[in-house]
Amino acid sequence: MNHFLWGASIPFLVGAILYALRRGRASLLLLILMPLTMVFMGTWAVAPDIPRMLGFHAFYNQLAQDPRINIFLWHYSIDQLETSPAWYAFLERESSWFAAGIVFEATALMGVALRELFRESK
Amino acid sequence: MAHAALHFAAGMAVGMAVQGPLLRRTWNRGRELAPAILRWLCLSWLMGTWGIIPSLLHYAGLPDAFCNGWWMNLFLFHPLINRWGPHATIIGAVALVGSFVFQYALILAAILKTRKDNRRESVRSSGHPSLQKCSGPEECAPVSRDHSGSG
Repeated sequence: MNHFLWGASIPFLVGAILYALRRGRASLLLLILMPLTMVFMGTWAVAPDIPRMLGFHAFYNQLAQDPRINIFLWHYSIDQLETSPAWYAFLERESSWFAAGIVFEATALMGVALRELFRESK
Repeated sequence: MAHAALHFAAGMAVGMAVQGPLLRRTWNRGRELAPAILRWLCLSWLMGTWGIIPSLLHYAGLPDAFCNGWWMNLFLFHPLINRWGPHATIIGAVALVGSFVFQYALILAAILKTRKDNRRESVRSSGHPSLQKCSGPEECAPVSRDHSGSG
């Protein structure tokens, strides 16, 4: 979940900056492209974990030990960081916050779209 | 948390279904679409929140026996849904994402529809001959001029 949140947060932040620069207006193109990019980048970041979800554990273990998976938005480095005892305990305890982060981004996106709908309705 | 996603998605589905017919009527009428969609979203999220109340109580530290008691079926069959097997994790995530995608897509469709209606309205008010006699947005489709039988 944290990889997905990390991946999705990059286009989310870019979109937020664009939204601020355009003084709170979002074009239909931005409203369509932003969630698609978020899903793509989130999936890209979590890609090395997909074999595990599908039950291919041997392949997953092989990938997990290969530093080249850093091309998936530093997946390997993040995993190395997470396996340190202090971080592991923290992430175990606070894992719900990652889901909350995803929900926040989705809700913010929907809020922006809804705001545009209200503006169009005026 | 994954189970909570399933409970939330179940609540959202109930909320969307309850408010759905009203939203459909508003959509067909083509007026006051934005507040109707806001109501629809609010109800679905409220129902979603209602569905995860036992999970929140559990997270707050209340005992399992209380949070999984039969009385918790009041919260959209929470204990019953909890009996689903390990696939509930995946189903929950997919259902939640699907619900969000559906709601978002509907908002985008509403923006497009509102723009289209606004354009028609402005053309009508500017006096376009083919659109002057319609009384509502759904009747304001441009009239094709068929001269074949008119003489």
